[in-house]
Amino acid sequence: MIKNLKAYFSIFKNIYSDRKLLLNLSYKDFQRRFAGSYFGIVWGIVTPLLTMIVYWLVFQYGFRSSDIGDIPFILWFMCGIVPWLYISEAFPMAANSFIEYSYLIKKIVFNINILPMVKIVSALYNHLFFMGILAIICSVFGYYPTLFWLQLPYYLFCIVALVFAVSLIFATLLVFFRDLNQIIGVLLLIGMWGTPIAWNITMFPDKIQTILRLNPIYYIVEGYRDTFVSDVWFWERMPTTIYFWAVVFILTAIGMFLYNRLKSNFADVL
Amino acid sequence: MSNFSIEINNISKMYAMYNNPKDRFKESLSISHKLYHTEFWAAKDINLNIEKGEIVGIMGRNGAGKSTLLKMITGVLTPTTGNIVTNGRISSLLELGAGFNLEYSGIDNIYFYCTLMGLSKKEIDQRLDDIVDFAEIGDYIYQPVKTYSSGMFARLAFSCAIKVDPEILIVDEILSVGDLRFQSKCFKKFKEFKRQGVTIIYVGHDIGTMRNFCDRCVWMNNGKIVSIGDPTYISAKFTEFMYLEDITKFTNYEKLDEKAVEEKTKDKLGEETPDINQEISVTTDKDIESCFKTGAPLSHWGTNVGIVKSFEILTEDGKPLISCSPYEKVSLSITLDNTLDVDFENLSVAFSIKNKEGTDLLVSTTYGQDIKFTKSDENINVSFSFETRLTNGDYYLVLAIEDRKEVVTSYYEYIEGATYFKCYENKGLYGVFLTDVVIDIK
Repeated sequence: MIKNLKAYFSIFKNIYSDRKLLLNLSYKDFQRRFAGSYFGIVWGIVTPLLTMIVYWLVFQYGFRSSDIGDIPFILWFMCGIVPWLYISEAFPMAANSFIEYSYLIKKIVFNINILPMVKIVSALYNHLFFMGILAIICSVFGYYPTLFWLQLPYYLFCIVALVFAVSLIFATLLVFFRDLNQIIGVLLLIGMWGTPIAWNITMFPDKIQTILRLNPIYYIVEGYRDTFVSDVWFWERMPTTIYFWAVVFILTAIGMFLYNRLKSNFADVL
Repeated sequence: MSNFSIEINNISKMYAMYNNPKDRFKESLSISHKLYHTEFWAAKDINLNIEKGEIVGIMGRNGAGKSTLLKMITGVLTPTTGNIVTNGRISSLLELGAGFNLEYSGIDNIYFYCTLMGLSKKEIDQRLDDIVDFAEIGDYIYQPVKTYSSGMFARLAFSCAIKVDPEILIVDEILSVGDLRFQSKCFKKFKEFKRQGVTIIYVGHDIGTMRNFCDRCVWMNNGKIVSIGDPTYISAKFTEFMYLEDITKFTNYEKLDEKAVEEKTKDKLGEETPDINQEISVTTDKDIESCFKTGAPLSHWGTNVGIVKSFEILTEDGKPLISCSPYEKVSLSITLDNTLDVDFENLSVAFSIKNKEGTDLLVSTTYGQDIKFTKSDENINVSFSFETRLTNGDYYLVLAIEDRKEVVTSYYEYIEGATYFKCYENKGLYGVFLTDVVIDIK
């Protein structure tokens, strides 16, 4: 039983023990995503930047939706869209990691359970860059770094844990049902508009607010806003914190269950 | 700890084959547990222990389960039943360019591959020059590997695989794309590995290589081990099988009727053949040494066995050849049965003298000599006379009655090990052949 349990959690053990390989692979992956195009890594920044600007223009001047107090809209919006862009980049990549690296899984023996994490870390390089931009824009608007910025690593950890849990489920199932990629597209669409990124949750009646707060991404988006502009510590919102980690825990458990049940068949169907 | 480097205990590998991708889905959702797949056993009940430092060759026709077995040993495939215990770092060349990323340059791929194999950056830096030198692909090493020819690919892959200090090396017939120079370099490396105690498993279709270089051979067919043993003997049996069995029919997974195939094989191969039905994993004790002692042929087969009515090989003084001097005239005479319904027009009679490793040393044939046989009332007698000119050692005679009508020769009768004999000369002799050399000192 204890031995079984150990094998069960090997995925975490391997992420730690193979951390060098993981970093190496993720860096290679990051490079490779832009290899073959003339401007290389520039695209990794330009594309999300343009996306961000388009959304911002639409919401700043188009659908000016709800009152957000005296915080400049661009800051409020960027705190939401930066983590979201990370999720929407890392999640599909991590979910397809086993398929993308099938040429390794079928031919070389190594701890394949690090692959989703490789993708998650690979997408992190961009995210760190945008966090930097966000910090600069905050400073431009007079929101200088405070002690609250110290909780950034915590929220970064939250976002990675959430993406990892969901990715593990999808990555495992995708090996067998590639059609799931369509569902991932739909999920991302729902996530984009169902999360209070461009609109304020307070515009809804209390009842609907409660439902909207069930979305774990809401916790992260709010967390970024608390950190950069609203000055709230994460322990000041204990109920949501507990709820978030409970969701992550359950999702991780499901993911690990599926992964451990199905991993021995990977090489057969890939 | 055991001496075995690889222990394979009763493993089998089953693939569920679906006629339609939808069936896989239907089956997993089926309430009545209706099965939609047909089972295909790519490997069945395989037992094999491989000692440290041994070189084992695996042969079998395409689809026999060789690669599946190798993949299970490597660990990329999980056996359906049974288990495999391996001791030591495994480096494997399962396929051309396995583990290479086509977009990366050669150098990048070396780093990538070695990192996956668990080497640190420093260790790779130390080996980089070695790997590049061994691969000998010049400046291509800086180009993306997608521009490589298959030979260059193999060179790079092989160099990487051997430089990660493997304790077990698994090579799946990829060397065949390398040129001669590279192949010989690889085999030299294999020999060096063997001295270091590295276990090597080699899959190949080249009988000569197998005989020269393996300690043991495994013959697989339909996912089972047919026999294991002395390379010369096993490869002789395998050649026999390849020429006789109707191998145009590829493994049929929907109805894998092993019995029928086995019985057919058994019928055709005669009693001498290791019985495919017998307990799996039987190590044959018959080998080249024992054949030398008993004088029984290593293999004897053909589509018209019996066409050789009789043959005799005599020394100068008219006695059957057991041993001879290299300079002695030896005569071989073969009498053919003329009553058989074969194509005498395209028939040729050939003999060959081989050494213990199975290398052809002396070959002569009526083919290409403007000799035409015709069907006549009398028996046809063909005689060859020659001096062996071979240095001291054990040799054996191979007789082949061939049908040369098609591009690929087929055999009416093939006797490997028709006679065994020794060559003997008092003087200290070196090399293999004794031709007349004039020594002139001025």
